[in-house]
Amino acid sequence: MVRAAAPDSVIYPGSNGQYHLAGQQAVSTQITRYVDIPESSIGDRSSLRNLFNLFRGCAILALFIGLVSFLVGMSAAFDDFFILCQLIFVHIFIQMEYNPPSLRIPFTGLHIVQFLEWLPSAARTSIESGILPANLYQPCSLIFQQYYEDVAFARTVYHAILFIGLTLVIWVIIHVFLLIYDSRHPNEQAKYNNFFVYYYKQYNSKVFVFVDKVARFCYFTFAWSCILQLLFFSN
Amino acid sequence: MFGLLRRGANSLSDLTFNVVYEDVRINKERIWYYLFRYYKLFLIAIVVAVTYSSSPVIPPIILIILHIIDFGLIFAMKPLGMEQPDLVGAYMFYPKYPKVYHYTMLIQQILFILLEIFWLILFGIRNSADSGTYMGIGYTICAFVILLLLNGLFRLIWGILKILQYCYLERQANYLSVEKLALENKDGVDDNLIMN
Repeated sequence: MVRAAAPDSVIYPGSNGQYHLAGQQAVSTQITRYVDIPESSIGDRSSLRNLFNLFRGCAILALFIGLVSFLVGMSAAFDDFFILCQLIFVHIFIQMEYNPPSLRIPFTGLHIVQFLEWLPSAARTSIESGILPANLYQPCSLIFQQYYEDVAFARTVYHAILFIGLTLVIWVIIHVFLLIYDSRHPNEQAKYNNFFVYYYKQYNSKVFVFVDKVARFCYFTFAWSCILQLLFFSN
Repeated sequence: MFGLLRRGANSLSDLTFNVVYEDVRINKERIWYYLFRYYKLFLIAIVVAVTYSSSPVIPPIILIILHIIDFGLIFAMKPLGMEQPDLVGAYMFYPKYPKVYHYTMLIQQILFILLEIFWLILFGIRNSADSGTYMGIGYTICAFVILLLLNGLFRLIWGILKILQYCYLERQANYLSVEKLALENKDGVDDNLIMN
């Protein structure tokens, strides 16, 4: 099960005209335009829900099927789509406090691509408890807490690091498998008899291309995490 | 690990852009674009992260300029015009993939420019428009996002079909060439036997 989008991102009006997130510190900035839109203006909730579902479906296709594509050598077709989803998603942060609900709610569907959130909720909780102190949240702008807990570096990159480790393991396993196959079928023609063997020989033999595919898949996540870190890091 | 890196480094020096350029989807004469597309992603991340709270006009304008530059580069220099080896029996998906990739990338830049123009409109009317209009601009931006996703999906599906077609036909061609070689060797042996 995927962790629910932005568990702490519900905005509550506080005292003295301040707004705060559930479970987070109070913020002094008023979220003007978004809050100013009355609930009656959001009458067409089914459109918002449908757009959310459409964007969520595309994000799942880009992320999860994209990850699986590395197993079957199809990642060249998927990495562009994944990066496209990431590029679209980060647009929501431009002056986010003024964006209308017709943007913010559908874009929530894409949030899993931001930091490659491919692990299920239970695994994420246990990994985060291992790599981060309990209840640690890095102070950052309110808008970056809308779709993710915070911008703590370890929390933003561990999905990508685990993914790189996994692809390396898969690559080594395939390589060992092919070496065993070669030793048992020494004649040249044998590789054409089995579609998968031939396919993986092609796929596995181009190391640079494989590294490029993995790097391209994770590149924006690392770039985005590092830049957010440079903005908000404090000791 | 070191072995892997060393092998990768060898690939970088000898084979990368001469042999496998079609796999990184770049024209071998336009290697600089390979780096440019990484720089562009990095620049977008910087622009959005650093200017998210500045004037609402600055980030979309910088992004529009970036996409215009990218559009111009793709259109004029054709860096995505990868050359693919001919494949006997290939039709539609494999041979036309470079063109599809080229045109869908151009369309993607245009759609991003339109998306960001509407983002500017959104900020332009935020103090004067009524809530319905403001929501409507949001829906319009979502429509452009859908077009972008459809464009990306089209390229994705074409790419999958291209890879499948390539693997099937190349395996078949190699299999046939091995069979032919085996037959020729067999014939050669028979001729020798007859001569003797």
